[in-house]
Amino acid sequence: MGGVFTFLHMLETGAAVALAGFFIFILAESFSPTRSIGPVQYAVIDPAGLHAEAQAIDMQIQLADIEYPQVTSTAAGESVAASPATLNKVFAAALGVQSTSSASAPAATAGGATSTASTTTALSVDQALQQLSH
Amino acid sequence: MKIAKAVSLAISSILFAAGAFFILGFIGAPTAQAATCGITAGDIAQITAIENDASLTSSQEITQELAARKKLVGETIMCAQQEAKTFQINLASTTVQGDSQQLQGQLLSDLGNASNFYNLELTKLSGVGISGSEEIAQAVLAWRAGTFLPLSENVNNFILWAQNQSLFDTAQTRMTQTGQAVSFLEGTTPNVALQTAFDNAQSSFNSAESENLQAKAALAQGLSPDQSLALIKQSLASLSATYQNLFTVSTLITNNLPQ
Repeated sequence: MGGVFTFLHMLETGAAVALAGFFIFILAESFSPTRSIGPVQYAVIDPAGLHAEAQAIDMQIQLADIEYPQVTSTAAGESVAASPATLNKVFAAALGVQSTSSASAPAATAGGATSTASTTTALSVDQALQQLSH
Repeated sequence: MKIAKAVSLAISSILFAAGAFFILGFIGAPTAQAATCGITAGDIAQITAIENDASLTSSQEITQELAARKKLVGETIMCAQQEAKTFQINLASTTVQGDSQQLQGQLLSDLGNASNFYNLELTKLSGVGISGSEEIAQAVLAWRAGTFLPLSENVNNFILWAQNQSLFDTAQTRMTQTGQAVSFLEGTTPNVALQTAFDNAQSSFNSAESENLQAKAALAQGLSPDQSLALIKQSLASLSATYQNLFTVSTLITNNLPQ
């Protein structure tokens, strides 16, 4: 009979200790800075993620820079007078292709494209139109 | 912890490389279409060769020169049509939300008008002589410089702007989460440097958002492509500055955490 009481007493003591330990654990965790920020908030200081997002922006900046390499020289008011070589570069950049007139661009501005262009070099639309205009 | 960081960095790098590959692949896609337009200086020189051919009678010379000119002008205009179509495909495949769809529709309509213009000039070509073919070439060249060049620039600006919106959404989420983390840390242990760094990030982000909206307005109002592009570039520069400040915030938070 005494053994049963002893066992129950030990069980009660054990449960009390376990419960106290559990609450201490909970309290300690709730004051831990790392836990309090939480997994979602902790993620915001992840350097790898930040780096990837910043790289994506840098890549877009580079795309914006190559979009119109000659755009500053073909402002709206000057567009009509834009040379075919300039137009070709702009369109080539817009289409993502290498301008085929880059080697002869300076000569192409005054109708002298044929003097330097190779007979097998593909002309841009505007270069061809200019040469077919006269 | 170091292994987890390394794994995280490696995964991010792989994802970034995959993204870059996709984007570059997308940009490079029209190359094949553009390459099919292949009028050369040698083709144009055929006209001079006909003009200088002493064995031809005057009538033969005119007939052959006219045929050559018509063929070349026609091919050139069809090449320009293909170019307009490439712009249309790129623009149509761009995903935009809300009222930006209206602007996208307007630009697509303008590109459709460009295609109609080329068709009209091709139709004219069938009934003209040598001087008429020269006039058509002049008219198309002038129209491209005055109308198609600004249109194509606006289309490219719009596509660029549309691509930026996902970057702005990501940055907005990042700013909100970082703000919550900074508020919590400031509540427990005030840190002037941390608050200043976050305020700088917020200021840059506000500028970026404002410039992004101005760029959208410039595109919608049909301002010059230069103005739109300048605003787009400025918004990206401000967004980049935002992330530079967020790196500082990240470092300061990391240093404040128990190791």
